[in-house]
Amino acid sequence: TVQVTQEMDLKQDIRLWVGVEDAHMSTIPIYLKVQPCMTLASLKDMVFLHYGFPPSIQQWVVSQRLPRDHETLQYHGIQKDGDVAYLYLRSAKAAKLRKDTF
Amino acid sequence: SLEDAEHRRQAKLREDGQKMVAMIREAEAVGVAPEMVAAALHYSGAELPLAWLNSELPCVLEGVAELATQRGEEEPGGGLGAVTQQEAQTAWMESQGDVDEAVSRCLSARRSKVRELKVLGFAERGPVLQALYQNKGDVWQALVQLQRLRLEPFHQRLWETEEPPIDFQS
Repeated sequence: TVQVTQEMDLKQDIRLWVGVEDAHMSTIPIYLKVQPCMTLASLKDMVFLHYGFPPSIQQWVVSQRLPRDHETLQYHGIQKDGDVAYLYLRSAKAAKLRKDTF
Repeated sequence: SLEDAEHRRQAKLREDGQKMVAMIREAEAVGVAPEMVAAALHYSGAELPLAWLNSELPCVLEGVAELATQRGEEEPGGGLGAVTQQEAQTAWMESQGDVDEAVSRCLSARRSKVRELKVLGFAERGPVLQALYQNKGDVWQALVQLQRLRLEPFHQRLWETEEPPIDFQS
């Protein structure tokens, strides 16, 4: 049934195109292996683990929305290879973060 | 008679099947996949595939990796790099213990990994081969490593705009 197919797709790995940005730089594109059923919180953890950017400075952008931690990628329409999201890295200062405190 | 032959054939199927199940069960207990058992049987004909895997497999895989690495060097466009034991093992298992086939599988796997990383924005062969080697042929982990380098400037800037912490002592 349709429902089953959808559920399977949600757990499937897809290749998300992510444009990484900060205040200074133009986009650096990377790809992340994600599952549409992932929440933003777990996505942030994964990016921290693999790339070292603390979750608190990761500002994710999907289309013109700012997804919240408990929401899933699928909720924001991410569903297949090549779908696009942006990761804006806030400055540590703006995020009131110090190198020795995270 | 025909009936006897048929009977023997079925008895053999049953017996061989039971033996295989016993070997798989024993292997599972020590974390070895059924495919590895089958490959060991096919390659060596050993009565005790598990013992064979323990004592002989590393040497066989080393041979596969070495041969694949040598042949990969001839590949146009900068070679295919050093093939790891892990990649040799995957290929050997998929080829059910056939060394020649395992070598070809290593090479075609490397080719498609190099192609994939190229599509994802990493066309320069040297760093790609190094990342693949360091990550035991895992294309996603290699990609993470390559992308981490690419994002390094962000890290540098991340802390650079930070004001020094206020020192109350002075």
